[in-house]
Amino acid sequence: MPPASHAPPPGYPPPAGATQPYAQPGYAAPGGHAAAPPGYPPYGAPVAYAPPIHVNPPVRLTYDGRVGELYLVYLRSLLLTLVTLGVYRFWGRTRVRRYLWSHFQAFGDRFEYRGRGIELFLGFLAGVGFLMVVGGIVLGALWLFARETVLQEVDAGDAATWLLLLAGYPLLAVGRYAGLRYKLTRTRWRGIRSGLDGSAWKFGGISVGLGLLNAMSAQLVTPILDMALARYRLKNLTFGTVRFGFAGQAGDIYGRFIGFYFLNILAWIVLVVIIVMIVGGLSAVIDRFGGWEAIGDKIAHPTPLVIVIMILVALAVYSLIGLVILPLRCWYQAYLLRYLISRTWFGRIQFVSGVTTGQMWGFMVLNWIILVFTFGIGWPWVLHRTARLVADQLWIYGEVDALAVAQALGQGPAIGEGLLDLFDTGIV
Amino acid sequence: MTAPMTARFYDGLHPVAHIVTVKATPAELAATMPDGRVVVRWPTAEIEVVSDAEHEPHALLVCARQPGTRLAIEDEALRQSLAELGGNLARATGRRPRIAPALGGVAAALAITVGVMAFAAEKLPNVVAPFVPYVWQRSLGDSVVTAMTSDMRKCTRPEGQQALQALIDRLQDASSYRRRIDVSVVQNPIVNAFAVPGGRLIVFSGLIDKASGPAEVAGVIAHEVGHVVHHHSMKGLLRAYGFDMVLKLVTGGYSSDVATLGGAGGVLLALRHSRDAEREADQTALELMDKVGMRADGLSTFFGKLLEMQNKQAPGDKGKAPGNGSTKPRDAAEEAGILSTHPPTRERLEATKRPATGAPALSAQEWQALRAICR
Repeated sequence: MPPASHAPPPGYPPPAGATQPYAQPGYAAPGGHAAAPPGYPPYGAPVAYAPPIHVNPPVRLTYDGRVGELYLVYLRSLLLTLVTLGVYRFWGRTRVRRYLWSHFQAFGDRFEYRGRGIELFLGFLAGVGFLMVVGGIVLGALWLFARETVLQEVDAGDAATWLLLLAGYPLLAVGRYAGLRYKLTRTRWRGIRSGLDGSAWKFGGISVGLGLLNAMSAQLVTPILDMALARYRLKNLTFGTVRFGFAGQAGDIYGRFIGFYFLNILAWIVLVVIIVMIVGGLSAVIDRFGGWEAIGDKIAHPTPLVIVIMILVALAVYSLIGLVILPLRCWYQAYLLRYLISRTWFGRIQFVSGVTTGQMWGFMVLNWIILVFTFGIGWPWVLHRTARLVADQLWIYGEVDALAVAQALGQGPAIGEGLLDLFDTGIV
Repeated sequence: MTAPMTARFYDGLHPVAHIVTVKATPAELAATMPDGRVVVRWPTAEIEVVSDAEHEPHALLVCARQPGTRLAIEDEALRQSLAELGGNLARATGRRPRIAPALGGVAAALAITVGVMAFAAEKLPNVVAPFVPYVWQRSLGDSVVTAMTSDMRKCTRPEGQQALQALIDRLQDASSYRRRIDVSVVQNPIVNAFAVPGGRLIVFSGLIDKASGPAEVAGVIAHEVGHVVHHHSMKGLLRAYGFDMVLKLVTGGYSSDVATLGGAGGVLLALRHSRDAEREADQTALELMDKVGMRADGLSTFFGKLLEMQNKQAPGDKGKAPGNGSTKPRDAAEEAGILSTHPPTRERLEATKRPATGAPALSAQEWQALRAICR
């Protein structure tokens, strides 16, 4: 059972007027089920939001994968990726996903990942082709119209690099959405396919527009940005013919965010004071080495010992940040995640997460440390930890209203994740 | 089959799991609901196993006769008996390898592969560099020259240019390098000279100004010709590229921090090769100068001059003894240790000592012309 503090707050269900169509346009009643079962609305009719069935004890996802097996899958893929100079990575990624997906169960049924390596490979080629065409058009236009001005100042190669960097930021958001769509359309549970409606470009537009606004307003509209991105994804998330519902509002989380915002400033001040005090306390030591000048000289001509000391100092600074700054961020992130999940529903199912600040810290900071210190070989361990966290901290209330959900139409995109592969480094 | 065994049947219409009893014969597979309704009658030959036994803990059976439906089977005994029917169904069995030996084998193969690739990234450039098409090397070198000297004045007085080119041509004739080596002098007070891909040298005028005579300039030029002869810059570029590629493949590019750490390792490796290349270029310089009967003590005296310049007291620190408080004179390259692009200067000075005999590298007239190249 989730702790009481993580149960949905009073005031749930969401505001009146939030309606959740059970069936989407294009949905025809499945053969043999001409009429909806007794007690259910007719197929195709939008249905008012129904409060979740809280009488059941909650059900949890289970993850029964083992880290040793995941390592075997991963290392074998890594080996083949090396031997094929990188080409195999699309197939390797597919294997890792098949392993992860199929070891998750909900209500006794396993998830299924039916993506194929060739789809990712073709998506990658399409992404490269897209970039080459766009880059070619822009460079061609530069050459035609700005040969005498811009290209006199910058090298064509530099222009291409800048173009890639400038395009990379918005295209990353587009790629993430398209990649999520690919993954979801290849995911099945009880034989029914999941999906993601909406436009990747629109998502990219929201992400870039609000991201710029956020940057210009000293990060103060972060809750609005977080909520807008979550809403677009969750309201477009489908399982079979039915969409997920989401009723989160930025206003609900502003209190926590403002607290985080100012405590964060305070934490940075505390961190600077701590560092100043440490440096002040070490002034005797610094004097013994001949003052700052001599230390600067040592850094300019480092011996191995100096390098080791520099690495230790960098690690100490990182640990201070990890101990003073990041717990606050995790405090906000864990709250945000719990909030987003508790405002999401599917039919008459409601979700609750009990993820704590400490668990979020383990997810964000420890995973980072594992990756850096194992030189990337710790990746399966990080995946395993993450899968366990997801399974342990997600509660599902209610039951699948099976007859209200029918198989999704179509197959989803034919190829996957081209832009994501080019701009993002994620493997799963 | 005797004991009936169960599977989960998904009808492909709604997210419902029906627990069914499966009976399979060589001809047909049938699944029966608890109420006795038969939901599946699939000809065995038309059944396909879509799951992947190595990665998925269940077998998923589909048949084109009932598109969208699937049977999920986790029961090991049932999977085994289905696999015994052969055909497509052979893939229904669970093939979960024993983890420890399999992991050991994969890890060993991985270690060997990484080792082989690292070895290739390290050694292949030496073999490949001379065969990189000359036009590519040339355009690469040209872009380096442009980037480095675009804001410096070129020194092109023809007499000085001819004197320097004649010296380079003699050294190149004596070497195994079969193409002409170009040189450009640029105005810059720093004492330095470079070799870039495509057989091009860049000489800073500071080198000519500070040199005590033609022998020192000739020594440094011969050293740079040595770099060209051994294709050092091309080898360095190829090695950096290869190392970067191996690193990207091994770490999968998951984390920029991992990439940074690995990049630092790559830089250290490149620096070690750079120091080896300097030693090799020093040796080749001496060989070439000996071969053409040129006076070859200039390289060594030039290193002496470098050390002297490092130990000259700056106006700011007159109170301090030179050499960081110790009696030992300073040697920046030695102090930088593994972070230095060059071996310790003292070591190079000792290794390149030669008697002050042999023909002068340039005639007095040529030397005057070279000194005046930037006027």
